[in-house]
Amino acid sequence: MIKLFNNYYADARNIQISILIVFLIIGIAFLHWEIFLLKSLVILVTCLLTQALVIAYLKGNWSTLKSALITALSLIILLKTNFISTAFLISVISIGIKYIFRYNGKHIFNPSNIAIIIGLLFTNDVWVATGQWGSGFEILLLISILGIVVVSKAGRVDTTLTFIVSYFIMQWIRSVWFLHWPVDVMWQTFTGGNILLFSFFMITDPATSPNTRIERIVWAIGIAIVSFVLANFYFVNAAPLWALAIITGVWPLYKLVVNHSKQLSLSKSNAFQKYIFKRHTM
Amino acid sequence: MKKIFLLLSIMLCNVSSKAFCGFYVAKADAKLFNKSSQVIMVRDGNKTTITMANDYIGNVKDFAMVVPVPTVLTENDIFVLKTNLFEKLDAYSAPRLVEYYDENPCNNRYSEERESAIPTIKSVSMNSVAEMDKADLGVTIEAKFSVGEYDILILSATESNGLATWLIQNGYKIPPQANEVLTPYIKSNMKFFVVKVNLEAQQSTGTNKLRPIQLKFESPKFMLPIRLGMANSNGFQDLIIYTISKIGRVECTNYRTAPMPTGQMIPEFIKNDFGNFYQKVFNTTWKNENMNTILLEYAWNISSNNYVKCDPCVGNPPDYNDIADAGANSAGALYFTRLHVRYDRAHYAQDLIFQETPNQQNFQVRYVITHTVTGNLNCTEANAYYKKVLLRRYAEIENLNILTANTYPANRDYIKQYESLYGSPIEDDRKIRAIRKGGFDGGGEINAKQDDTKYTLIGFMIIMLMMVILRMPLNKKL
Repeated sequence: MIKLFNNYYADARNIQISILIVFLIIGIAFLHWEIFLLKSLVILVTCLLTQALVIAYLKGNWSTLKSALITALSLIILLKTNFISTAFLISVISIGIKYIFRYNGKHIFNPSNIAIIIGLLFTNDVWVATGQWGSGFEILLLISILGIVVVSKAGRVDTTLTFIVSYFIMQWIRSVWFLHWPVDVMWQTFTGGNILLFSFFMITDPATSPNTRIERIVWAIGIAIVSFVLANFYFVNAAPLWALAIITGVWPLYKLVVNHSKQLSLSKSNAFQKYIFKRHTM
Repeated sequence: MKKIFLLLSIMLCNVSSKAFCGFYVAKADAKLFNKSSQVIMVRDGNKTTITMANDYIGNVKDFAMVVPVPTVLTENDIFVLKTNLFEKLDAYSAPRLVEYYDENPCNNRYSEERESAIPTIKSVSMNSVAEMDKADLGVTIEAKFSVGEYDILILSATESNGLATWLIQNGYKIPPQANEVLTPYIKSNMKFFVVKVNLEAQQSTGTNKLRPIQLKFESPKFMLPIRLGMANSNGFQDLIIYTISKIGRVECTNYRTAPMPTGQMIPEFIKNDFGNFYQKVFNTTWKNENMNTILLEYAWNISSNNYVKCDPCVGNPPDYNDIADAGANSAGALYFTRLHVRYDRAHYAQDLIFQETPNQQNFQVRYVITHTVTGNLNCTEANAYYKKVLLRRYAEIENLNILTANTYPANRDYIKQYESLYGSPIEDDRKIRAIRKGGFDGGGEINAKQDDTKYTLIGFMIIMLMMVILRMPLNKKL
């Protein structure tokens, strides 16, 4: 028994799958989400099949199916459409796009995130129910405790903390200090299930978040800034989703620039040392 | 049928209430109490049209309203509408009761279906008056005009004390929470739309009723400022929001939207008491949803190319003129949503923010009663029919208890009648036993479901926390 549990606990993805299933059950049973069985099945089967096809074609590792399952569950929770064909299309896009846009051996975009953004942009049949979790103490407890389990296993507590803290600070300065809204406005926003789910489960995907701690902190602050601007000045609904898509899309460019300047400074210092050596030996 | 409708309408006339949007600042020391109101919101791109019902009952001299708006409105942005638009939309989208009639098991007969409906709690009266005064308290009168029977000012203020003083100087009692409520709007550069009644113009309309006011403005934010209305309230207020959108259903983004329970079979004796029944159902659902959820009561595609605008229909669907009056363009796709929110300061810290979603699903709140066959039945199928009715009646009582959390007293004779007809006692089912035991008396509020969920969740969280603490190795890289 214990061995089974150890095996289960060893892979963070197993835990995430179980927790997403728990959320789905809670949402359907207690929060009266309108989740339709056929559409959910279509999303699930499409994601798994597409992933299986890609694995067979690229001769990859079959455990990637777990990632596809996580994507499917996230889509079932987040994606709302009228037509099943749209759900099918979005699922195919979410898995397929992992293999189209890659940088440094990893896929650039978070699959469920970018699929929803593409759906919002290019179809007129996709929407996100940002209020579907509600707010409040129970939601905060539920998502944060379960979230900490997954996030600590994946080694991404820094990302989550940085995002929440920086977003909170910016929002506090604007809402409470500058605009004089009462404090429970902040409580309402930051105990909302959508933002907690986002910060514990979506931005902490190891495949799409940067590798080193410093980079992750910069990345999370970037997402917080973009979310804040989009939500407060452009009144974008589900601003964090857009922010994540933008930052992950722009990140390879940022890395290129950083690497280039590093190389530049490295080569400059090399050239300088050579010059000194030459001068010294002359 | 018409008689039933009339009876139901009369039963539902509620006398007092105030509108949501502004706060009612009374001249006299009248106790201000916001009860319920209705609003129509039409969204088209970035343009919003808000129409506020005004069922003020009282001295029109005492009426006044304050609404925050994002821009300075011009005279072309403000309209006064005819009064029956709200009644029509209310009747069209109200929760409805559907009757079915059992076929006589002894011979063939067509079953008939008829509908009757209840308009929901009628709205509001407002009672205060704003008089104009040009005191320099950082309050600027940006615009001033008369529309219909109303005199309107658009004010901008630099700080809430100034605005509050300005209102006090004009003889209004400001609720103590008003300052806190006004400041965020002033800091966000919003203007204040202040309305009072012009007595001569009102008398010339010939009627005592005040007509709905409509505002049009352009803003990227699709929101409804409900916080002002909470400043002078003594508890919960009801607000019914009708929205018309070209895209699909409208839902709230910062608070949860949940559908009202619908489709249940309920006992026959509800027929003449549907209003009371629905009020209890709403109360129960609202409490079960932790009192901070907006409840969906109706959603339907009312595009002109959609011929089925209701099913069953209890009121006429809005026609071309009604839609134009509400401020919408009836060409192309059109979608109607009815939301019912009951709010107070403790549960709603923010104004409601909405989004138009492409959701095209139709939804209505509909309860079903089935009339049994009356008279003596003398055939072999009669006994089986009695058993069917008895089981169904138990189910109906169970539904009633669940929907109203045992607050609706049920008539024991409802079951007894068919128990005696059937003869032998029905097989004991756990549910039937429970109903027999306690389910008839309407014994009071039972909040078991809500607390149950909460404690289960908390217990679950504690277990998870223990697992995390016990399993997390100390040297694991975080």
